[in-house]
Amino acid sequence: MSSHSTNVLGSNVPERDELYAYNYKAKLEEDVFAAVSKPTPLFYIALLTALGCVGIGATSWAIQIINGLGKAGIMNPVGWGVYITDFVFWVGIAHSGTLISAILFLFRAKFRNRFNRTAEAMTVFAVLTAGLFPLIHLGRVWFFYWLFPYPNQRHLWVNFKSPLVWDVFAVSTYLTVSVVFWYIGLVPDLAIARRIKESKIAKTLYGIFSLGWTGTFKEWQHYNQLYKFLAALATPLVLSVHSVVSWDFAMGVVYGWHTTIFAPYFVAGAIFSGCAMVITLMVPMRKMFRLERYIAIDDFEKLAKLLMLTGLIVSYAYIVELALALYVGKEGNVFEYEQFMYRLTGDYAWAYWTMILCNVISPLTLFVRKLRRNLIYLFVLSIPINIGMWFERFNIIVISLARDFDPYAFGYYTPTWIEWGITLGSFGWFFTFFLLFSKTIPVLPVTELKEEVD
Amino acid sequence: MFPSMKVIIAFIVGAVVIAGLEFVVEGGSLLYSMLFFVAVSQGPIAVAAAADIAGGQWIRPYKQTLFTTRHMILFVLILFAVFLGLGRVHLYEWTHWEHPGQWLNVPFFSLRNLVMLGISWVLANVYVKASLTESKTKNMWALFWLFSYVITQTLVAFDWVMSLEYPWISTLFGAYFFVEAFYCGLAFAAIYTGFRYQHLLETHSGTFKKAMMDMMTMFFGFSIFWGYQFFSQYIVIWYGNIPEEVSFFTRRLDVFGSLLYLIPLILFVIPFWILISRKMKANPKVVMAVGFLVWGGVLLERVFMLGIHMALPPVISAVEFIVASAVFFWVVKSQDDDALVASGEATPT
Repeated sequence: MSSHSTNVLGSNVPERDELYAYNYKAKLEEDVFAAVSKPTPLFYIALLTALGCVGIGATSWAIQIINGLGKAGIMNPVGWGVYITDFVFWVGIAHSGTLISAILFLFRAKFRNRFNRTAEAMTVFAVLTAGLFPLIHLGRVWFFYWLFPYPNQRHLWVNFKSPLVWDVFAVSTYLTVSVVFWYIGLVPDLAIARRIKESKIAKTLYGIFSLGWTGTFKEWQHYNQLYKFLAALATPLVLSVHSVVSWDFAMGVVYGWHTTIFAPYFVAGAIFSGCAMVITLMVPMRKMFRLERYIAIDDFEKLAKLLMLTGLIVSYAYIVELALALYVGKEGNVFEYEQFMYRLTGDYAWAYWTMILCNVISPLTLFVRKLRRNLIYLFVLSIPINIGMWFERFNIIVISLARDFDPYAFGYYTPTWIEWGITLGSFGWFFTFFLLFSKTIPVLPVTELKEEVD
Repeated sequence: MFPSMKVIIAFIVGAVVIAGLEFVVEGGSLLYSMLFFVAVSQGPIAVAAAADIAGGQWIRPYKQTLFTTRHMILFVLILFAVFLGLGRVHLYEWTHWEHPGQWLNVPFFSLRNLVMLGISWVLANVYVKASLTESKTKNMWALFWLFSYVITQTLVAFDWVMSLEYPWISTLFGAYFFVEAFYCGLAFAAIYTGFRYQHLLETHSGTFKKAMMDMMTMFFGFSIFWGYQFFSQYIVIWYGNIPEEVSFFTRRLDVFGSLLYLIPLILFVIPFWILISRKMKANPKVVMAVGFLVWGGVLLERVFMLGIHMALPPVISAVEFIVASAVFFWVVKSQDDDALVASGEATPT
């Protein structure tokens, strides 16, 4: 008889036994595709809630478009407020998905197979969400195409020396590679869906998207090569893309922005928030779709360790930034010093300390093994971490702009309900996509999990 | 935990010779050697600790050897004490301030660096013992040691080098140093592979080639990571173009000219293009050459870091470096031999 092990294959996959393996694979297909079946009332409630949030966001945006950007709280000196905070937050979430998936693939970490599908889907939907904010931030959104370099009568050309333009190219390249990486990984599973699904429409649609996959040796050979290549391509790409996002700030001569650690710190922060978001999504999904058999506590513990590691890197960056501001002191660089003193004790100190509490203090609890193996605790913890990461971006953007060089230009920014409405809408937009995904595409990579028992 | 008698004798002889040379000629030679050896003594243990925590199997053939550098941390501590004892701390401009700062003052500078090097050495020994005995607490000690490693390397970056440039700051400088030390650790593994390839192949038959490929892939990965960190620091400073910031580069360009371009070439471009090939990664002589190249690059970089602030008399610097290298070689070899005897792979001589 076969027995269950938690160490042979790195998870709760049963030990090798041909009969058991056969049954395991069949059950795996059945369980995973059961999740992609007719939605339950709970699903509809969740979808309606998400759509309701989208409605609030859309209404808020409509009000802003009709009345002008004055409806938002952004004003000199804080020209970048909640919208750009939301943009960086969602871009961070977006960048982590592929990074988690691709890096763990290259490191041959098997627990990745439990999370990669969700992480990659999260990436795609988060980029779609982030992409809205540069548009929302435009005063006249109907002229959005002015952002692109195209020949025009006024001989206007985008400023290629601006990191904001680098960002446009970086994020769109990233979206392309992420979608391809995600889609390639899906192909064998879509072929299984084509076989399993009974409805003719579903069979046809899955048939089209599975690209005629039959699972021959040659197909697998090409597939594996391509997947490895894409993982190797995606890893440096995602590092560079999120570094470019950090340079949107670091290239500006604004204290609190202009700092060399930003690139690696943003990348670590992205993985940190991404891991938290994967936990937020996967813990309830595991329960609702009854996937406990396939996603073990051990797997979540490994994810929690990654969360801890990236949390420590982010904490290191916070400490170094503050320590060096104190190190140079008023005598060495009064602007750097005052900026950080303002963060600690100024008008937005509440936001700074919220960030410290959520991103530095709360992940330290994961050093306790019992806590990092407790899924309810992990789920609860993932929420303040997401909030903390939002505040991190808020602190960087708003506090630095509110206290620039000249005391005459100091200001205080308060977000309006329009901005909060749009922020809520962005969450609704993201979760709508995610909910639809969970009922269309297998949330676990069936073929990769089958490979483990082979 | 404590080093053997022959290692202690090597430390005493090395420290006395270096102190004697320092007594004769003033300059930054000692600081220069310390900056290199603090990286190559801590880096290899950091590689092993990171692999232990991640559960990497590829570390097994290398582990014993990577641990051999741990006592060099003690030697760096002794050298630092010599540095303080001979008053070399006055190479730092801030020691001449009328009103010493709260961070930059001689007693606190001396204390925190001595304490951190001491803690790092003690924790390295505790971790090594736990790791070699496959203790349950292995990962916990690995983590503690990594904390001490990050703090020590950050202090080395901020205190030993960055404070020479006060009020110039770069928040990435600490991370740049501990990543570079890690890179040096991987270079050490590559060099060792070149020297002991046949032995490693025989003692770990069947698994070594794969472990070596993984280790060298990591080495390759860190060449990219080093390049990334270098670029991340450079571009922000270059683009910002603030006089007090870009002076870090422009002053060095004035003194060393285009020689500065050798650093990204040696530490990124060449290792990257060589190690990208699987064939090269599997060749012990090639990886050994790349390992030495990386060490050479780090040495050169240290010259550029210190050279504009203090005299680095070439002969004395070279002799002190050779003496410290001889101690390093002796420590590694004696530890490696002891490990072989302990594992029954060699007989005591």
